[in-house]
Order: sequence, then C-alpha cells, then structure tokens
Amino acid sequence: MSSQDLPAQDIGPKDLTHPTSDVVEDPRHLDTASQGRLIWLSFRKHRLAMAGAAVVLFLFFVAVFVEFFAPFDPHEFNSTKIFHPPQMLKLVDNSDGGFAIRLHVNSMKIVRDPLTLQVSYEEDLDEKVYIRFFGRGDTYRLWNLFEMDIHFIAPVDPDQRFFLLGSDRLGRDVFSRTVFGTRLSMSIGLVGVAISLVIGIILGGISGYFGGIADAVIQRIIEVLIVLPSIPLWMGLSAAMPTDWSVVMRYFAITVILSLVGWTELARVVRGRFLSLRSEDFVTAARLDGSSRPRIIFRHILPSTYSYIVTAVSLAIPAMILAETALSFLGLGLLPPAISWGALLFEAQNIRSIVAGPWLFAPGFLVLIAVLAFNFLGDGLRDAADPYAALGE
Amino acid sequence: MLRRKLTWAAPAVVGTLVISPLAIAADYQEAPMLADLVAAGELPPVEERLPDNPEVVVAHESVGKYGDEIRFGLSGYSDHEQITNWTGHNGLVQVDYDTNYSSTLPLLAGEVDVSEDASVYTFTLRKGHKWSDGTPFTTADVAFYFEDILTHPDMAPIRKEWLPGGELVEFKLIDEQTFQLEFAVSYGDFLFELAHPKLVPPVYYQKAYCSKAHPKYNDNLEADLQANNMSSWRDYLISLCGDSLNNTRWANVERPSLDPWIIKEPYTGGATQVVLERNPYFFQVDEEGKQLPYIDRLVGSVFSDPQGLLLHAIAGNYDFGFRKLESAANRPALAEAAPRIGAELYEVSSIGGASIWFQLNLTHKDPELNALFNEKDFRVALSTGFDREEVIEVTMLGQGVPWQGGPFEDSPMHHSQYSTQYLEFDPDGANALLDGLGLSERNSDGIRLMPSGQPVAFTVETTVAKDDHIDQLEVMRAHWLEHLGVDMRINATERALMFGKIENNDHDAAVWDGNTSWLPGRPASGLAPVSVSSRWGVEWYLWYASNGERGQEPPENVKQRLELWDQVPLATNFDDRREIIHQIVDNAADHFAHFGVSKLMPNYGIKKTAMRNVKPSNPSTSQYPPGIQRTWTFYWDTEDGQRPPSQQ
Amino acid sequence: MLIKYIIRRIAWSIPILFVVSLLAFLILQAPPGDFITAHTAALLSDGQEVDYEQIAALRQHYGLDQSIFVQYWKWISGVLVGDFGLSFEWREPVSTLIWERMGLSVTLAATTVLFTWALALPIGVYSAVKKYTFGDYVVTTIGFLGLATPNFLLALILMYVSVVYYGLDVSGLFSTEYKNAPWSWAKVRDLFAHIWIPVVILGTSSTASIIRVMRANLLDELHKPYVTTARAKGLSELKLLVRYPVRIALNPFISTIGWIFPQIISGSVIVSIVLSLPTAGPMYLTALKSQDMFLAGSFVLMLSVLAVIGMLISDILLGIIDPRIRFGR
Repeated sequence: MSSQDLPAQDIGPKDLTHPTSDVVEDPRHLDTASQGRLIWLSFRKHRLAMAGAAVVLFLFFVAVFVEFFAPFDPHEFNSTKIFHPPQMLKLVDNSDGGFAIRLHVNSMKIVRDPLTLQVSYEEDLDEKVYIRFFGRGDTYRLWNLFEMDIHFIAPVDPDQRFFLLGSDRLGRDVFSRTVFGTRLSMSIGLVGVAISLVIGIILGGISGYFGGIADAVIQRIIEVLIVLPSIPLWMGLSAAMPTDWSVVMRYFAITVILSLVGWTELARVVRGRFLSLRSEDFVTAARLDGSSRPRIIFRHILPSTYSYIVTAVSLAIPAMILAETALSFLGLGLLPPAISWGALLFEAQNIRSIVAGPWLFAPGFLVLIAVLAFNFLGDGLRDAADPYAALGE
Repeated sequence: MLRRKLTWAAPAVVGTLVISPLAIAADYQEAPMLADLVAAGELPPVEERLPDNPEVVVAHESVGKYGDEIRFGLSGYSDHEQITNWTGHNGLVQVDYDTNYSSTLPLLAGEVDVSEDASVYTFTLRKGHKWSDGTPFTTADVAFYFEDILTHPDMAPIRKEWLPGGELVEFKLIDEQTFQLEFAVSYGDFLFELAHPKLVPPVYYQKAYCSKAHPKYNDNLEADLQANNMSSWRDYLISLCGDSLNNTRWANVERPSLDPWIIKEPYTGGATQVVLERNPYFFQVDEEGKQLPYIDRLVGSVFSDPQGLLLHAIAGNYDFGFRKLESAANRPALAEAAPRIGAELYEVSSIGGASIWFQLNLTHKDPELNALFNEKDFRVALSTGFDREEVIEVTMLGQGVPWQGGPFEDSPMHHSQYSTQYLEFDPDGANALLDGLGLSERNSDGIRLMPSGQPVAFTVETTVAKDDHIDQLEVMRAHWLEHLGVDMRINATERALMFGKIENNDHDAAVWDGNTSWLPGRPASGLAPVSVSSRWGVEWYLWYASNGERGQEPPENVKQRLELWDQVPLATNFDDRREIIHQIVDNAADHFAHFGVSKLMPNYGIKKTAMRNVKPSNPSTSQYPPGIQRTWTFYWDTEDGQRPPSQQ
Repeated sequence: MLIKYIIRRIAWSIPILFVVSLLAFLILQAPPGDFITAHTAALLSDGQEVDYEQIAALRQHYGLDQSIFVQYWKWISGVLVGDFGLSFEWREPVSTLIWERMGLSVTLAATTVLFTWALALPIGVYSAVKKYTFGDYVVTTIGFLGLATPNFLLALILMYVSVVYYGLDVSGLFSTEYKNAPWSWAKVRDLFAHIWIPVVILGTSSTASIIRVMRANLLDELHKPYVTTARAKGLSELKLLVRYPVRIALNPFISTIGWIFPQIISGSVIVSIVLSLPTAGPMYLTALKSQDMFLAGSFVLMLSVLAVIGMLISDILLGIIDPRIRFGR
C-alpha cells in the first residue's frame, strides 16, 4: 500500500474476517507485491467471487457466440408447436426393445381446441428426437462474417425440433430465444450502467470534494434531472427517435439517454461520502503531505467508497435489464424482432402465459443468475480492493 | 300494425318484437324496490310513470324476474362505451338487430313518418313519457337542442350529417309530441345516421336542467361560471349534462336521463367503481306489462390494465361482456375459468372485414417511396408475396380464411373481386413484378434497392395494445424478407403516438382493425379517402374534407369515387344505394390501394349461464351501436332472481 | 447558519420548479399529435367517427392551436393563484381530480418506505456482521430474487393465484362498500387492510438494494480504527454497532431520501395499473398518454415539489446525522 497514513492492517475483528482467507501467504511476498497483485491474490481466494467471475465470463462467451449455442433460429415460427412444454433430455433409449445410451427427447403431438384456443400435447411414443453435440443445423453467419451450420446442441435430423425450455405463442423455441437474448442484455444494459457510473463518480466526486461553485452548479443540474419526471421523458424520447434506425439502435439510444439521466443517484451518494471524508485525518494528512488533488481523490477518498460503488453497480445491472420490461409496458422498449431477456419477459407478462406457458418466465431466472454472479464478483472485488480488509490474517 | 314505413326498412320483421300496447295498458307491474318507494309515497304509481304507449319489448327468451345486480368491468378511464353498451344510447330510432341491421325501428319517438322522397321526417314522441326526475319529455327538449345548441355559433361546427347536400336541416315544432325535420334533398341514410350514437343529442338534453348553462336562459350565467371555476358556457354545459359521446355522459349523477339505468356512482376522473340503478320512469315494458329493466343495479369496476380486467372476469365478476376482453390471447384463460365461475364463452362476430388492414401511405412525403407505393404492381407483389395460410396457422391456430377486406359472402354488400383478388401466395410472380419495377438490384443483405440506391424498406405503424396485429406482422415481415427482399419494420407504439404520426402524414404504412360493412351510417374509409381512418390517403382525405383548400388533390380514379360517395346518403332505396356503393367498389378493387390477411373471425367474450335473454351471438360493437341486445331484458334465471355467486 | 441555508435552498427551488415545469411541458408536447389526436384515436377505436372540421374546432376550443409557450403561460399563471386548469379529458378542475389520489400515493409510498427500511436495514446489518455466512447468502439470494422479478409480473401472478385458488380479489385499495364512500375511520382501517399487498410487491425490489447498500456501507465502517478502539474500550457489540458505524452507514440513504417519494410514485405507476390502485399513477400515465396537458403538467409539478422538498430534507438530515458535513461555503 502506497498510502503512508493508513492504519495498520491487522485491525479486523475475528468474526468479520474472510472465511476463505485461511490460506496464509508468505508475508515476504506480500511486502513487495504490487497493488494489482495484492488484489488478485486476495480475490483468488474468494471462491464465490471466482465462481461469479466464471459465470459472468461464460455469459459473455455465450453472448458472443449466440448463433452457435442456440439450436434453432429464434424467429422460426411453428404452428404445430405452439406453447410446447419443455422436454427433458433423456439418455437411456429402449425404443427398439433394446437398451442404448443415446441423447434424445420424446416427441410430442399437439392437440388443438379451435374454439377455446387451448393446446395440449400428447407424448408420441413412436417418435424420438435424437440429439447430438456439435451437430449441423440452420446455417448462420457468425458476426455477419463466417458462414457456419454447426450448433452446440442440435437434433440429429435437422428437420426435427426439440424444446428444452418449451415454446412460445408462435411456436418459437424459448431456449434459442433466451440464448439470443443474452447478447443484447449483456451488452446494451452494461454500457448504460458504465456510462452512469463514470459520470456519477466524476461529477459526484468533484461536487463533494471541491464544494463551492462547482458543487452548487452540479447540484442544480442534479436537482433538475432528478425532479424531471422520467415517464414523460421516455415518452418524448421514443417519439423523437428516427424510425429508420434499427430497433437495436433505437434501444441503445434510449439506454444511453437513460444513463445520462441515471447518474444522479450515484453522484449524490458519492458527494455525500466525499463531504464527510474530506475532513478526515487521512485526507488532511495527504493534503499536507503535498499530494495532488486527483491523487487525493482517486487514491485516498474514492477507494473508501468502493463498497458502495460495487454494490450500486451490481444493483444497477438488473435494474437496467429489467428497465426494458417497464419501458415495453409503456410501448418504448425493444421492438420485435430484437430479442433480449427483458423483451422476452415483457412478452410473457400476461395471464395467458401463466395459464398456458409458465416456462416463458425462464429468462427471469437468467436475469437472477446474471445478477447474482455480478454481485458475488463485485463482493470479491470489493474485498480484494479494501485496504482495511485483513489480508493473510 | 302500429309501425309506419321507414324508408327502405323491412317492416315485416318488426311485428315479432312489438305488440299493441293497448291490450295490456291497464295492468303494469314494477320492481319490488320501486313498489316499496310507491308504498312509502316517494314515487308515483307505475301507471303514472309510464307513457301512454310504452314501448313493448318481447324479450329474446322469456319474461324475466326482477332483482339484484349485474357486474361488469371497465377498462381504464375512457371506457364510457362500456357503460353505454349496457344502457343503450337511446336515440329517436334504433337499428334493428333482427334484420341484420338493414332497417331501423322507432325508439324514443313512438312513431316516425317519412315522406315519399325521403326528405321530410315527422317524429311523434310518446305522450306521458318522463325523464328520470319525473318531468315530462316533450318536443320542447328537442327544440332546445336544435334551436339553442346545434345552431349556436359557439358550438360550431355542425356535424355534416345535419347538412346533406350542404344545407342545414330545418326543425319544425308542431305540438308537444310532434316535430318535423326537413332536408333540402332526399336523404335516404338519415334514419340510420339518426340511429347511430353520434345523432343522439336531440333527445339527450333536458331543457329544464341543461338550460342552466345556456346564456339565453340563465341571466346569472357569469356568476355561475365563476362559482364553478369555468370559463365558457360550453364547458359548463358539459359539466352539467355531459356529452353523449364521451366520459362526461356518466359524470353527473343529477343529470336527468331517459336511459333504463341512471348513474349513481359516477364515472369521473379516477373512479374505481361505477354504479347504475334502475330508472323508475323507463318507458319500456315486457309483453306482460312488467316495467323494464329487470335488473336493479349495474356495478362496474374500473381496471387500468387489460390483464386486471381479464382477472376480474376469471374471478367471475364479469357477468356478460366482450369489450376489451375478446382478444384471442385471452380465450384459453377464459375457457379454463368458465366452468368454475358458471359461465360460457360468448361469440362476437362481424359481418365483414379483415383481421388486419394493411395500408401503405399513398400520399407519402418522400417522393421516391410515394412513387413506389403508388405502383399497383408493388402493392400486388406485397399482397402475393406472403403466405396467408401460414400467418393464419401460426397466429390464429388455423382459424381464419384469407381475405382482403369487405363484407362477407352472406352480406348483400359483398363484392367478390374486392375481397378475394391477389390472395394467392405466389413468390415468383411477386418477384417478377418487383423486378419489373426496376428493383432488381440488391444489397449484401439481399434487400432490394430503389433506383436511388436506398433499400426497399418501410416502417409499419401499429400499437402495443394490438398484440394479434403485431404477431401477424411478424410473420409477414419474415416472409417479405425471405421471399421478396423487402424490409418491413414494425413500430408498435402508444395509440396516440401512432395516430399523431399519421395525422402529420409521417407514416410509411399503418395497420388497424379491418371492420367493414358498407352499411349506412358508416363511412367506407377503405373505398375512398372519406375519413381520418383512411390512413392510405391522409392528404387526399384532407383535400376532400376541406373542399380542396388543404391537402393534396387525389388522382382521377380516387376523385371519381369521392364524387360517387357524396351521392350515397341521398339514395332513397337500398338497391340504389347498393348500386352506387358497388360502382365505388369496382373502381377501388381495380386500384387495390390496401390489403388484408384473413377474414375477421369471431372473437369470444364471456356470459354467465344463468343469465337469460342474451342472444347467442353479438356483432362486434365497433361496427354497430351498442344496446342492440336490449340488456334491460336480461335477468338471472335463479330461484329468487338473485345473482349466483361469482365462483362455484 | 442552518436557517440561512434553508432559506437559500428554498429560494433556489423556485427557479428549479419553474425550469422543470417548462421542460416537462415542452417534453409532453414533443410527441406528434396532442390531446385531440388521442381523443380522436379513442373515438375511432370505439367505432365512432370524427371529421376533420370537428377536430379543428376542438383544437381551437381547447386552445391547442396556440403556441406551446402561450399554453404554458396560461396554465402556469393560473397555477400561481392556485388554479390548475381544467382536465381536457374529464372537463373537471384538475384540483378536484388529483388531491385524493396524490394523498393515497404518498401514503402508499410512505408505507412502502417504512416497511422496506424496517425490514431491510436490520437484515443489511446482520448480513454485514455475519458476512459470508449461510445466512448472508440466503438473504442476498432472496433479495436478488425480488430484484430480478419485475414488480408487475409479481403482481399479476399474485392476483391470478389468489383469484383462481383462493377466490380472492386482491386488486384495489378498498373493499367494494368503501370505494366511493366518504372518508371515515372504517375506511381508513379498510385501506390498511388492503395496502399491504402493493406495499409488499413494491417492497420486493427495493428491499434487496437496501440490504446490499447497508451491508456495503457497514463493511466499509467496520474495519475502521475507531470501531476497534471502541471495542477495546469494552463497548457491547450492539451498542458499538448502532452508535457509530450504522449511523455513518445510513448516509447514502439520507442522500437519496430526496427523490424516494417521487421515485416510488413514478416507479409504482405500473404496479398501480396492474393492481388497479386508486393512486396517482394510473391517472398520471393516462394523462401523459392522452396529452391531457394541464392534468399531466400538474402531476409533474406535484412530483417535482415532492422531490425538491425531499432533497432539502435530505441535505438537512445529512448534516444532523453526520456532523462532519458542513453546509455549503
């Protein structure tokens, strides 16, 4: 640690120590380790954080290769597969009276009631859909560049269909749609959060540290932005968007504008913390020591707000992903054919889905998993970066 | 036969509904709740409350029992139509349900006489007919409308229905019961227009009450306006008496009315519950002389969200109805709930129209798109470039028939070419047409390019509330992209935003409901640009409506149709009228300005099985005035006439 | 010092309200069309017909043919003397429409805040003190489950389940007999018998945030030297927690108290709609959608006033709770 006036590191009470920090590092290495390395060493020991990081990385990986991971075209309609329930993957195949290990699902046949529009499915015992990994299916252009037809999981007979997470009202595969949704949900939403974060920290920090005119001006801007009600703003925006933009483009623009408005909360909190910290002994000491202002802000004060920032970010991500469902409710969200978790949840939010296809809520679980992963990752980062946390105690 | 000829009405059917009142006049019965009031001396006896010749209604099934309430749901804050569905609009005349809406019957006017050339109409009100406050309803009330409201300069403009051939109707008061309306030209459509809710106002305002807001009758008006925080007498009139066509009709519990039920808990801003109670002075009786309505009370709960309304129905609190409930997406949930709540699905049918009505903007601001959209070949290519059978399979569970629009085969107005041309899915033919238009270049995504190098791409406007439209458009979008290389984008926004865009002529294309009947009283907005619903020719409509002052002059064939359209209301018999309409349709079919997907198939609402006198099917309300079911003859077929529990 | 500060802040809030109300008016006006467009759309959807001349006449009658600044001036000059104008849609004075609804909204928001804070703050403290224990993970996961579930979806499922399986109608804030009844003690009791459902639904999303924020803040504090010093002095754990670290950790909540009310009112719009609550939300959204300018504008103004008051209170409280913060300079 470079800061001279930080108190000794061994102050954490026993019951608050890290449960996974029982692996004692050789203290000699720690003395000379760089800050980045210290953080990494500490982070590595946080198992849940590592798991969170793994999940986040995996989601990003899926987001990059959605066409490969999705078995089918997410826009493919199928009138005989409406509200198809999820199918269990099975291994043991004794269809020919024999016994074989082949990955498959049992085929289902639709029964439709034309008056009530209710559908039900009967298991078709004679037909099985055999499934293989890295099978051939629809052709797609990965990143609009490479023509490919290999899918992570695909039916052996490319004309057959299986539904791991069921299908929706137009017979589209919910699993493929959820996989495709990963791309937008894990990109646009995060960009929005990042923009808010940067603006919030910088302006909140300036406002809190310097006070005076800078504070007054920033506070007035914040006040106007906070006071300006969000719903009319959204409605005005959606009307102002040029219609020749693609749906994704439009939504990206809305996200950016939302985040240009959404930094205020973070800024107020950061300001509040700065106000209370700038008169602390260690800040005064740093100032007397001749530290430059940016150094004081970014090296001394900001780190003590990490916890809050990490938490704010891990809370902002689900909020951004779900903001879309609320926007859709107002008719401003993502429009078809774009797919995201939020848009999928919006499509599912009606009585019909509760009655006929509860599996349509599956994207909600993906949101939960992503959120938890980000949160544990954040926890790990926070602990690792915390100058007070006992390392190697 | 008490009825008189009503232009080209079909009088033969009328007799089944109405018996001579003289046979039963002596022996009227009333609801127990009113009998109690009469016994307490708070209400005059039923004979004095009914007119001398009450309207006698033979209910659809049987004479009913008095009592209890009917529950229903209201969707949001501008669902006044839902209430009016229950009470009826109650104009001078009504459209006849039993002749498939091709004739009219008298209603508030006991008698109507029409001159041979259909230019002079004589109306006779019922003697002894009373408002809900017990004061007589006479021609003085009608005169108040024609002399003091309709023609008052502050109330301009006058509806064009009162101005056939450009001349204002002439009102002649004859005596307390009789008045005449005289037109400068033959006006065969008049009774149908009069049966429509929009022409209810002549019998809507009670002079004694509503004239309090009128400068001619109130000398203290300025003070009253100030006391009520109003700036104009027109606003004050609306706050007192409301407007028969919007929410304010149900906002004032003190307004005297002629409806079967009168408002008790009003439908004002933010109301969560609306209650109506029987009008003790309602002028109709059943064949046994029982004063209608049978049901004491209507209780409506207001839901801001359509899903809330659906839940209300699933909970068994929506006794009969389909408005805002009939979407196909709701049907499985309703069907599942039906046995539990003692209800059944109830059919709402249409006599014409398409599931969606796809309209390219033929007056587009962009010259290149304008030129392209105005090529008939382009429109034909779009129509034949997607597979309607698959749209129907995927989005309607196969329940549909490919259809371009227009009335169905069993309607006298049916026009085969208009409704069934270019329905076949023919991607090769469609591509050949597009190539022929010089659109053969394509970009790297396979989208065709216009001569300027811009892709053939357009945005279709729809609204978030119509999820069935969006589903159909999604399939069409996929087909056009795959088979034609045409890029359609779907823009689903808030309804008002969509309409705002169209009003400014900023849309490429739009879809909307495709109801069509071509019957009198309904502008045929698909045949010619004659209403704001003609989204395919916004500027042409503007030109037509402003007599050429604004908008763009339409091409010759459209102008011909507009000229013919002006002749339609003046026809004096059904065949003549049909002849003119079909001339317009021939021309419109050749032009092929817009197209549809499937026939508008029946939708389903819900009806409690214990409710009687409900006809087995109801035409969709956006085509026909509500109240045609005579809801005031409904009753509960239970032992004591009480409403069965919501859930069983 | 404090008094001077408050006066200065109040003086500041007047131009802010002015700017915001003007901005809001401009934004409301931005989408194509106006109230008459929305009105026409509603009529056409009902199968009515409106012709071009009537549309023009209505526009003139409502003053919509005038420039937006003229319309704004007409409205704001009325507001200054307490006249909020007539609602286009209802032809009733705006003031008769909004007060009861705003009152119910604030009641709902206040109950929600109290409920979530009472529930979440102790859990947050527990979660920080017992960091990385089983209990911590359980509350974290449950919290995030609440956060990851859209409120209106939860409302919808709750309504469906209670209707279908228990025959209960959980929508609204009052029983049928009290819906249109005048205010009485019985009605207030009835309100509190119903209000907990929306409170719980609205609470699910904010509970997680409060737990996490509290936990994070407290963790920052717990490592500080003064805590150790205090502990060394023999202060009991509970006293030690409550006296300093928890107080400091409340700082961010105080910072955000400013917009918590307007935020809950805006945030509860969709839930209010799904649950058909007689609060400001549904009417506010309807007014916005139909561009009922004076009604919508008045709601916006009310929300802005709430936010401004909230921010003022928040800044004063910050100073009281944490004396290290000086008021301005």
